[in-house]
Amino acid sequence: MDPLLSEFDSFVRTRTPALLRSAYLLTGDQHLAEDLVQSALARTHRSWSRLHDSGNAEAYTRKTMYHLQVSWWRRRRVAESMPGDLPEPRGGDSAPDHAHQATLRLTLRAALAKLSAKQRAVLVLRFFEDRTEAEAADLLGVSVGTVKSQTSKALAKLRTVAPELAELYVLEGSAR
Amino acid sequence: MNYDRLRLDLAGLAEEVTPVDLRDRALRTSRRLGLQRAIATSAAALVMIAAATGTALAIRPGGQDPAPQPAGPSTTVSPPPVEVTATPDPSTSTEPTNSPAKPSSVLAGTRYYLETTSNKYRIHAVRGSSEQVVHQLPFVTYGCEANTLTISPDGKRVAWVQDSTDGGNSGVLLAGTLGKPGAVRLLDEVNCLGPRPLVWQGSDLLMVGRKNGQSVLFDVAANKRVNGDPGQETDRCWSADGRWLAAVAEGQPYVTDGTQGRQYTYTPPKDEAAHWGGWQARSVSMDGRYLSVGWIGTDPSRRDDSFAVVDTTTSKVVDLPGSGDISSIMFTVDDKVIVKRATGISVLDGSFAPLGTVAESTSVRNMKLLAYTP
Repeated sequence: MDPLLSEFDSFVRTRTPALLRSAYLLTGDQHLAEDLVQSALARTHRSWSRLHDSGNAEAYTRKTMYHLQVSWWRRRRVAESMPGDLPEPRGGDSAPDHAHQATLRLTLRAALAKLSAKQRAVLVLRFFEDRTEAEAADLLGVSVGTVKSQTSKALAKLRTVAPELAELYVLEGSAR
Repeated sequence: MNYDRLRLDLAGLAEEVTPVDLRDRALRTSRRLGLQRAIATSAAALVMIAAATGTALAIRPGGQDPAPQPAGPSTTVSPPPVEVTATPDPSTSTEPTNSPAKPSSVLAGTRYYLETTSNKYRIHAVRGSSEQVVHQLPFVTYGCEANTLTISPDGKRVAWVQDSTDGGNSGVLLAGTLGKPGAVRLLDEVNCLGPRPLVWQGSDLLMVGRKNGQSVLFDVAANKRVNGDPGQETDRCWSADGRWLAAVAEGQPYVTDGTQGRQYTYTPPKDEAAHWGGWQARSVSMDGRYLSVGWIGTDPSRRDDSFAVVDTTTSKVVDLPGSGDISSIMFTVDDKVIVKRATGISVLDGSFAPLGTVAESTSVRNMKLLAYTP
């Protein structure tokens, strides 16, 4: 097998699970997440000859993935396919049992669907991938100020569309 | 907010995704995106051929794909060294070629086709039995050009995105005069992904998307952005004169000329729709009543085809005369409808009554029909 292809295969099989997790948060859908990662990996493959020994292949793939997701065509598809209805809040018992956790996840997923593509992207970058504001700005190709404002708007919208999450997440903050 | 709890919940949500092996799918997509691009392009220069004069101007020489110039005042794209030769590319047909297509009074104007070869993009102009290559760009391996090369509805301007170094995601918007050498640098960081990354509003304005997702309406004639809110609608498509807009806002398709408008619905064939990422308007009639629709691919590749006509006043599909699979439907500025099939072109009037047929030469039959000018 072509050594370059072999390296690419190894890269894909090693990194796909992590890429899919981010893509799933960005799209809220298994199939769209697969499409997103697939498209980003295809572009990485096309640039593999210059990426393979640079050590930047994953950064390139993630950057491509975020750009693809934010681009208009992808945003439109996501908006149409993501579930938008929030599940009914579960009242009374606050014990973190399995059912409660599942409900919270559904709520979070539906709340994320209410955000714009860019707002979802900054939340995923800042709070899932734990990127700094500067790193997030670089990945999205925007200014740090934009990351700050989009993060603020995203969190505010989460509080609005899912008050039960706001209640849960209230207390202290610890942004980097 | 308690960000640690948010982090935990996001991590938990992310674990819902099922890991799959995307290796083969990624390679297939890569192959598909690169299908029309040469793996090794010997012509590394961006060459524009003025077929009429037989001159060629190489504006991007060298074997590499250089990064675009930094943003700045618009300039003619001519980074040194510039190779100018009075000898046309030998592979370029600058003389009319024999064509089986007969002159037809039902379609007496010029049809512009996009040809893809292993190392070049060529725009053919067909008028009656005359066929010429009037513009040409060589492939830039994995470049944006393949996904964006377009000509204005009046057949006078050509525009495309020149790839940057981010692997075919975005680049520099360039425009020039069809058939003449030279190009003007208009805008940086322009998205080159999607079924129709560049959309004309009339023949002077071009709607593009920036890398950051922002839409920009650019006045190509004046070489400046059009001020004002470009709007949040998607899937824009204008009638050939730029008056009527078909678009989608918050999931609802509509047409408008700025003073009046209407919403419509369209449900594509269910079985076929399952294989695509959606549909969008590809051409709008001069009165805004009808539009042709085409599929959106599941990857961000260009698509010029269309397969049905929707009456926006009734939301019903128009029953088109003729038989055979339709490859594209175009509403012309002189109120005709061009229905392109593998067997040739059916020309209809504004009420879809047949006016006649036009045979296409074998050389252009499989090319994309970009525009028609009376």
